[in-house]
Amino acid sequence: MSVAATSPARRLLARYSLLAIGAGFLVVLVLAAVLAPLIAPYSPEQMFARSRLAAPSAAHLFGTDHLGRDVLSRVLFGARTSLYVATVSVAISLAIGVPIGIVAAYYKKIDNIVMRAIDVLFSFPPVLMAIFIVAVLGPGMLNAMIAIGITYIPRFARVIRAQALIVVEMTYIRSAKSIGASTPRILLRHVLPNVTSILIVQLSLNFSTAIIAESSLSFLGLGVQPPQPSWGAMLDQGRAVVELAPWVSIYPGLAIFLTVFAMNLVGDSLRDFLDPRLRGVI
Amino acid sequence: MLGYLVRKTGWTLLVLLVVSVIVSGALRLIPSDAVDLLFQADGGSDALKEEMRRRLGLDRPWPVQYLAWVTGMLQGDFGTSMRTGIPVARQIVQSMPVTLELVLLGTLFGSFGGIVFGILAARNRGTFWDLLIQPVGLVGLSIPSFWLGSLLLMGAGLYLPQMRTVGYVGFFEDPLANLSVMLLPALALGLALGSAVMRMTRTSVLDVMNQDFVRTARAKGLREPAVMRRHILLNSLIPVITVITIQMGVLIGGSIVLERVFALPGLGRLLVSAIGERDYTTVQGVTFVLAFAFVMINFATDLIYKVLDPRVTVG
Repeated sequence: MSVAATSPARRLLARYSLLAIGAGFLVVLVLAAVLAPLIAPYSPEQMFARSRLAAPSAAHLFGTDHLGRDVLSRVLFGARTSLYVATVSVAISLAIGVPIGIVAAYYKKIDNIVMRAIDVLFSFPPVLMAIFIVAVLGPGMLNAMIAIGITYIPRFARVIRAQALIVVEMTYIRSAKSIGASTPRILLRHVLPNVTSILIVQLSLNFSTAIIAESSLSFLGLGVQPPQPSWGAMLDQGRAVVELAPWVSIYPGLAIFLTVFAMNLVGDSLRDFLDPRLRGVI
Repeated sequence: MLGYLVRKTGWTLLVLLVVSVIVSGALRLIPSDAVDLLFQADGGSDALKEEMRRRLGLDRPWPVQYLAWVTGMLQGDFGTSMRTGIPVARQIVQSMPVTLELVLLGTLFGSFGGIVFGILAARNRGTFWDLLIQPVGLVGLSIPSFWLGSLLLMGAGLYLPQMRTVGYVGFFEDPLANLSVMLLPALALGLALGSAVMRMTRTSVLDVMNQDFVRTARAKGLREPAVMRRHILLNSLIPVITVITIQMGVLIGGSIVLERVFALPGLGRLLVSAIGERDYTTVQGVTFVLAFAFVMINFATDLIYKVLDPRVTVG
């Protein structure tokens, strides 16, 4: 067992640099998404009829797809779609899952029933659940956001409840009760702030899951509909020409991978900082 | 043990009941009537629609429809496809082996590879290999399986042009061709599981290695392989099994997507094309079968826990 490699200082440095790499990439990605109309060389829907499936070149850095559209521009605009869908769906999971978790932990009487209901939701494989919700609501970007949002409610509820169960036993909660603080006040001002560190970790990890879920749905033709650029749908369009024009599939997939990787780096490092007990646990 | 078994069985049956109510009930929530949607593209007279509704039993109140569906399923009758008129059960039976094989192979690759590398990392803690494994595991968790699938297809096309990668053949028709076709999708599917299992195995083995009973085992003169096998491995398995179970859900979802990448005629393809064709009886049947499989996996895991660790009492 080498001491140097595991010494706290080295570990912390390694952790900081991983966090910095991940966060740095995400900042660049968000900037690219926001500034896409300014920095993209072409419109994502402009078709260059004479250069269909053109290999990467100076004119088209990432090549063109089967309709002669610039892959780089579509990847940039696809970042907007993916980040938007992921943000909205994570917000849905958060807005419903967190109150459920906190309330269940606070009111012991309903805890059992609520968590059992959550267990039942958990018994659907996640992507299947999202696909099924889309089947009911109909394909499309809005419905995909709702579907992904609902799918990951149980995760938020479970994680938040587990932490809130510890918090509600604390003496400061009892003090708040004894000075006559109202229940909403206790939940919002005393319980919620003390589960935020767990919440932030869960948020960053869930973001990456949402990105994968969105691109899976769009890849299956159930999420974002063409011609709107989305990484998943681009991969689907690249499928037919994968041997002829691999760049149509490589770049959007790389974008998904790097985004998810960066978010996982950030999530992992944050967890190590904020919750040392879980160090190294999945 | 018996009480535990009874409680777990009861809970599993209850979950299946609720799942069936959700699946059947949710499809009733479709904004427009399923038959209307079905005829939207092709047109069709009202009389024809009424006839169709009557034949599918959609004119009856929902509880009656639900009961008919559930009692039918208990007898192996999943209704008939609204598109093709083929019994849904027959379609499911035809597609099931593909998905089953894919998920089993993926689980096998992932669990085996993950446990082996996890142990290696734990035993060589702090060395270059261990430090390499952390980021590699994170990469494995972050690669979308369907993109990895296309990359593998591209790679095979370039470097192994003679390998059979497309065109599904049943295992019993031609085992070698079947395995050749299933190899890449199973690898793509298993990588994420493998990474998760590897990380958990490493943590869990490290945790157990520092326990008193391991020191005792060494102190009484047990050889290192025996310490590893009998004392460390067995005791670090439970969290690993938890990860495998949780990831099985991800695997089932991943197989739906991967079947599209590799054009495999499995349950995922059946489900996605049924959604596209608004074939709701098929959607209902396939969704329930996949959810059922996952519930049963969870049930089996609970039993495995109990066998591995008699102290487990949680309901």
